[in-house]
Formats: sequence, structure tokens, C-alpha cells
Amino acid sequence: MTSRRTFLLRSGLAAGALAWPKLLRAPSSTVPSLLLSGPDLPLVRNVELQPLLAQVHRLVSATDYLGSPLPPSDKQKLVSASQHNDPVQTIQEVLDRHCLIGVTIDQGSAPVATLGPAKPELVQSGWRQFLVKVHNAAGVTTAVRATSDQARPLAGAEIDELAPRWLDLMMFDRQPLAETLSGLALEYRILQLYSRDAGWRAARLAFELVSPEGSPASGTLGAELPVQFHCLPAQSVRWQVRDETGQPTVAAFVIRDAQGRIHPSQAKRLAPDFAFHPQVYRSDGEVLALPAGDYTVEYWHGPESRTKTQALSVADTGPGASAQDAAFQMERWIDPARLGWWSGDHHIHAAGCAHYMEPTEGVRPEDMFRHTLGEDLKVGANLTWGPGFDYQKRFFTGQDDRVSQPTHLLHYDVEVSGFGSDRSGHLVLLRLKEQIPPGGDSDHHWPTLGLNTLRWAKRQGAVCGPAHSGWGLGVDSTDLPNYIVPPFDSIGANEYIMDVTHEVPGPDGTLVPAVDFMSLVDTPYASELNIWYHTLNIGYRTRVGGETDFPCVSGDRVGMGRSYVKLDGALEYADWCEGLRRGRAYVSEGMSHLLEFRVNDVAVGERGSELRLAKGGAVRAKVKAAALLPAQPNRDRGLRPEFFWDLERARIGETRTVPVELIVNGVPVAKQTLVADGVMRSLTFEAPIARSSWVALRILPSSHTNPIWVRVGGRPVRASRRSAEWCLEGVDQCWSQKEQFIAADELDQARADYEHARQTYRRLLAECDVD
Amino acid sequence: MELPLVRDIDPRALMVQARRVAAVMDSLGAPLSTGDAHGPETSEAIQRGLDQYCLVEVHINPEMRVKVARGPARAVLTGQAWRPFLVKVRNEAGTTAVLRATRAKAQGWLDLLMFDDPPLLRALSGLPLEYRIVRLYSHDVGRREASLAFDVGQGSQDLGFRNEVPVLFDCRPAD
Repeated sequence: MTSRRTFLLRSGLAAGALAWPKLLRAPSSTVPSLLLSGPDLPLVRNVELQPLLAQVHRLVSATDYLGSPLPPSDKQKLVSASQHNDPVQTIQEVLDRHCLIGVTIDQGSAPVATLGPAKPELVQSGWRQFLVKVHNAAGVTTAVRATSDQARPLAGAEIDELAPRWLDLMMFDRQPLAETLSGLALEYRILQLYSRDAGWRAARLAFELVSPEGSPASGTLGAELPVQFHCLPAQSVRWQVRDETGQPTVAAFVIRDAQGRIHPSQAKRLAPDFAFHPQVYRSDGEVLALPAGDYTVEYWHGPESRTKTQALSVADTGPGASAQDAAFQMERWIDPARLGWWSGDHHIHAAGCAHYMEPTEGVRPEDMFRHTLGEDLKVGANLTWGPGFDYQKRFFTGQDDRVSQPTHLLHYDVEVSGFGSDRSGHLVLLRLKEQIPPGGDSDHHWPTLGLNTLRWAKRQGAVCGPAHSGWGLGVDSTDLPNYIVPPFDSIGANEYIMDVTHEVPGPDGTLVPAVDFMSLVDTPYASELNIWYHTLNIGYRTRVGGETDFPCVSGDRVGMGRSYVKLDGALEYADWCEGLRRGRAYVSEGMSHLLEFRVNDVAVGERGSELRLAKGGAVRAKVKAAALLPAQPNRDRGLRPEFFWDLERARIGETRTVPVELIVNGVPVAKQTLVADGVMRSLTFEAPIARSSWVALRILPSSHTNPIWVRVGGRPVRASRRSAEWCLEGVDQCWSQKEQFIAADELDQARADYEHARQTYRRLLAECDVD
Repeated sequence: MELPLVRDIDPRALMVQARRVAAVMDSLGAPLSTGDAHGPETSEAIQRGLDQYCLVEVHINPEMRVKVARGPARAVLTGQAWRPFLVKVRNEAGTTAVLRATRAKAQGWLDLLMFDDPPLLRALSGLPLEYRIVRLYSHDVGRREASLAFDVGQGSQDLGFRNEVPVLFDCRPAD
């Protein structure tokens, strides 16, 4: 069923209809003095406890996920229900109060609906969630669906039918719930209701049994149940959003009412708001529709600003009143861009994964740009990939998207994923001039060997590296370095172990490294860093960049992983990518920063990041470091498994400090403690360098600098035989997994390329003079 | 509750794999009807034959996100015996990782194991479609619910609970 909102947006009626013109207003009705909720619903007996408890657990998760949680006291009662004499009755006593309707299904009969005790209160322009108690006496395992004449679409309606069709409804039956009834005698479902109007409105609701494909079962449409709703009017609230200098800006807002429900309702969000977010992004001057009441607003402007919370009280100002104002002042704790370090996320998507494919195949540039602005992400590399490729490819121009601003850029490039060489490991291709190789105009004809993709991309001057590097590289150790050869069985930096040994022609035919950078931050850090450290230890100079893979690896927000690239002039995408290629950057999840890293007089990313010494001796490393942790540990965040990089995990005990480590050839050689209070501090380290080495700094797992190479006596880095052996074994393991995915006409090339890698690692192994 | 058919699948590779799975199901005491694993010549026909034995379908998208849907097999367990079910795996990522099945700690009434002994491979083949076997064992009798979750490594679970599916089992006493 097409929702009313979708219809309005498609038909171009949205602006008028959403302002509730007279045409759509129902005639005024007699206002009942009380909300007409029903009596207590009958208790269902003889229900087995275990499946009911499991179902209740899922129901609580679903209401939380929908931004309409049960009250904490009720959750507590449900948690402790099994300790009661009659837990099944206790559960019903708690949940029945939230039931708008009870439905009884007897064998061979249509579902019978009765009014439940929940207050039939809706909110204008918003969705509300109610429970439906299903007494499934027949034990059916079909789906149950709610219908209402008042929820019928406006399209095709007579003009006098428009006003009565004020309602929209849907049953929420996605995970963690199920599409169909389980067959258990007692089940609670979630009914979502949307009101177009304010005031008292009547609806007639009925329930029917349908197959999972949506076909109604014959004779199962139950009698209509009349319900009188009170629809709270929405008030207009104008958002005032200012940055730390008083300038208008965009920020993220999580708006919760007194019951903890999220506004605007997540249930029916369309771009620019994402249904998988609790937050919305709003700019200064925009107007939100909120019912009168008290709210708590949590807001932020990216990780470089503090997350703040403030109360908001929306008054009932009556019809026709001007918008109320709500002011939000951002508070920045660090501003790397002001110091020339520009944040960017080289891996975000406008389609696929958590994005919808209907009504459009993903979202548009202006939608993604709103999110990058709200997270104060200076560069968003929006990568077109498999899902929606042929729709999204139209936004690629080889230039910054037209929505870009001088301080914030959105640029379309490509991730090889869902096609081509993806099974050897996904590739991020930045700064492309052409987004599709010759021979086709879609994603069907791409090379199946990653190195062939890189040959094409590097020829046009692209900046390239593997995506979500850690996938396929997990082992039972988080030691760094460790020497366990991983399975190379997935889509991370797998073929990288071969690619890194190759140079390929650049735009002018000069040979350049096939791989420029490794992606960090969105997969387990030990998997990402171990392979990088090993290849650095034997002389390769791959750099690192931070990414999110939004909304696939994480849908929390864009910019979960970032590169901070030092630029000398204005922000330009090509320069930012070049800084990434040269390693004039550090990687961070945003809550710690390692700026101005240098070893002696060589700054990271300048002069090839190479310090030349005639002979071994001590070097001095300097950095400006800052980090921000709350004074008290935040265990919830620190334990979220998908936050692979998170400063909370770096916290030393119960203190507000984190370690900053100096790494030489993959091994920490010095450590200092940094107070994570947001203050930037200059740190100096000294370390003896006996032979050619790479040097970096890290706050693990939160931030990592690119390396500076210390070249002693003109010799290349050959710092570890064991690293060379690990790489050599890795080539064979990778080939054992990837050969099957190479097309026949590329197999000879692939064999030669892998053999080149083996021979190269054997030579490097022989050149290493230390274990 | 039919599972969607996966198109453009090489029927030869699928048939080889289906025969292997059928042989294992035979050895586990849950034979598929002969026509289901040996007769059909198109990949769609093979799927129609095998899907009916699938307790769940696992879908691995190109970005390695795993989601799970309920399949058509009846969720009946019999006391004191392991019961094998098929798992339909749509592997768009081409991963050759190990597919793992888990259930919530609180659902201790159920044991479950992926069957990955020979002649099956321990890890996924990397083919876009294959069938695996999961074995379940109930310690209880009666109706019991479990949320079955699948992953192919740390962090591969899809967002929004989509890597798990609730199943209400009818756990019957041993004959």
C-alpha cells in the first residue's frame, strides 16, 4: 500500500497537503469529554512461558528500535515477570495497558477486534505505536493485517472522500518481530497509526488474516471496530542552530518526548531523514512540527563538538500562531580544520545496505550532504556501488557535487563492490575521471582481478585502496604484530597482499604503486593494522585513511572513521585525495587527534615522509595530541562491538587518560599518558634508530598517524624476516581463496601477478637482516 | 512461505552441491525425497526441491552484511535427537568464510550446530547459492521459541536485528 506521504511526495502535493489545507480537513465533530479507551482485555490462560518470554524480549527490542519504548518501570516488570507466581498474567497486566485493540482468532472465524485500554491518542503529522493483543485460539501461522477505510489512499478518491481519509496505518512485522503469527495462543503485535489532522477523528478498524505475500485469506476479514481518536495538534518550532562563532549551521538532533518516544517518528521517515537513525539533521531556520509538550533534545555537530542535551518545552499556541523558537548553540572542543587538518570520510554510500530502494534507489546528493554538514565532515566521498549503481551513477561528474560549499565537499566516486573484482576484496577508487571502464556503461564488464581494476584506475590518476580492510583477516589474536596467517576469505584487504608488490603505469606512464592506502576504523583494528604493519616492515609505503562504509558496516552516522588531511590552501577534493596518497594525514574516529607529527625536522607527508640519516642514532618525534573522554567511563559505548575504534576502549582503568604510543617497525618503543580532557598538548618522544625503520604514533584504538620513514645509510626498510614470511604465506593463502573468482581470460595474468608477489617477498625475505 | 528463487545460477555446480547435501541428510537420518536432490536439471527446479527443507534462508550481501529469513520447513524437534535442517545461503559477497549459527544465551533449551564435516566443506564455497545443514537439539518438551542468528565473522551482522529470526518450535517427546 502506498503511504499517503509517499503519494503526496510523488504527486507534488506535499507542500500543500502537509500544510493541511481546508480541502483535507474533516468537518468539526462533537468533542467527547473523555478519550474512549476500552476496558481491560481478557486474560489468556494456558500459554507456555518460555516462548512468551522470548517474544516479549523481542517486542521490547522492537519498541525501542522504533523510538517508542515502553516506560522503564514496565520494562522492569517484564524483566522480573518470571519471578512472579503467575508470570503469564503479569506480562499481560503490563502489556495490555498499551494495547489499543485486542484481537481474537477462533478456528474458522474471522478475527474479532475489541477496544483495549490504551488511550486512543494520536499526533498530527506523526506516527504513534500501539500494541495489539492477539489471542490466537486457532493457532494460525498466517500474518494478521489491520485495515481501515479511513486509511485508504487519496489517489483516485472522490473529492468528498478526501476529508474522511485522515489516517494511515501499518502493522510493524519486521525483525525482531516476524511477518506471521507464531501459532502461540498469545502474541502481541505492533500497530502504527499516522494522523493527518488535529482534533477528534473517528476511524473504523478491522483485522484480517493474510499470507506472507499479502493475499487475504477468504472470509477472514473481521467486523469493523469504531475508534474515536484524539489527535494532538502539532506546533511549528523554528530551529535556531549556531556554531561556536555564532554562524548558522547544521547539526544532529535526537528529540525525545517525556515518554522517550523519538520525534519525528522513525517509522515513516524518508530522505533527508533516515529511518535507521534516531537523529535528524536540521539547519538553522528550519521548522519542525512537534505536538505541545516537554522534550529532551540531544544534539551534536560531529565529534569535534561536544554532545549536549537541553530541555525543550513546546507550548500549545493554538491555530494560526507563528512558529515558536528553539535555540541550540554548538560548543566545539577542537578545530583541526582551523589548523589546516581537514576531515574526510572516503567511504559513504547513498544507496544499498540500510538505505531503501523504494521510492527511490537510495537517496540524493542533497540528502547525503545534509548529513555530512551535520557531522561537520569536510569531505564526503560518496561511493556508487552495486545496489542502485545504474541510478546513482548519474550523480558522478568527476567534479565536486553542486551541493558542495567552500568548507564542505561532497564528491561522487566508486567502490568496486557487488561487481567486478569484489570477491578478491573491495576497492575504493577516489579522484576518478571516468567512473566506468571502457566496454560498457554499467557494472557488468569490470575486471575480476583487483589489480586489473587498479591498472585502469591508476592510469587516470585515481587514489586507490582496499575497503573495510579487516574483513577476511581475522585471527585469534589481537597482538600487534602477530604472525598468524589469516584466512583471506572475505572482502577486505585480501588481494592487497599481492597488489602491494606491484607498480602500475600512472597517467604519464611512469610506474606508481598500485595501492595508495589502507582503510582503517570500520573493521577490527588488529586485523587492519597487522597486515599494514607487516608490509611496512619490509619496505612498502602504503598510507592509511579512515572510513565508515556508511550505512553498511555502520549506520550510526557518516564520519565514524575519518582522515584528517593537512592542506596548505583552500579545501579542494583533488588536493585532499593527494594528501591521503602522500600520507599527510592521520586517521581517527574523531575523539582523539595527532596533529603536526614530525620526526626531527621531517613532517608527516612532506619530503616524502622520509628522514635521512647517515648512521643510526636517536631521533625525536613530536606531536600535538588531544583527546576527549567523559570524566567517568561510558561502558555502554565502550562495549558496543561494532565500534571497532573507540577512544573509550583506550581509557586507562577508571582514569580520564589514554596512552600515546610511539611505534617503530610495528612495535611500541615509548609511551606517554595523555589526559583526555580536550586540551591539546605537545608531546615529545625519543627513540634510538639503529637501522632503516618506519615510525608512527597511535592512540589505540582511536587514532593513528601515517608513518615517517627514517632511512639510515641509504638502505630501504627491511625490518622483519617474519613479516616477509607472513606476507609470502599470505599470498598462497589468498590465491587459494580467490583463484575461483578470476575470469578465464584474466587467469594467466592473475597467475603471473601472484607469482610476481611470491618472488618479490622471497627477495625481500633474503634482504632482511633481523627477525 | 516459499523462499525466493535465485536466478542465473549454474545448475551443474548447484546439483553437485545438492547431491552432497542430500547424502549427508541421508546419513543423518533425514533423507530428502529422491526427486528433490537428483532429478531436476534447472537451478530453479533444484531450489524448489530443496527449499521446502530449509528452516531459514541466510542472505550475505555484497558488503558482507548477513540477514536471515524464515524458511518453509516445519519447526518440529523430537526429544533426545538431533534434527537436521537445510539452510539456504545466498552469498552475494562470495565469501569463503565459515557460516556460524548462534542463539541467545537465555535460550539454553536449544543446542545448535552447523554441520561442516566431510563431504561438506567447513567454510562456504564462495558460490552465489549453496545449501548448508544446521542441526538442532531440544532439551525441553513443549512449545519453545528461539531466535536463530547467523554470521560470517565479527561485525557481519546486518543492522536492525536482521541477522536473526524468531522460530517457535514444537518440541515433542521421544517416541
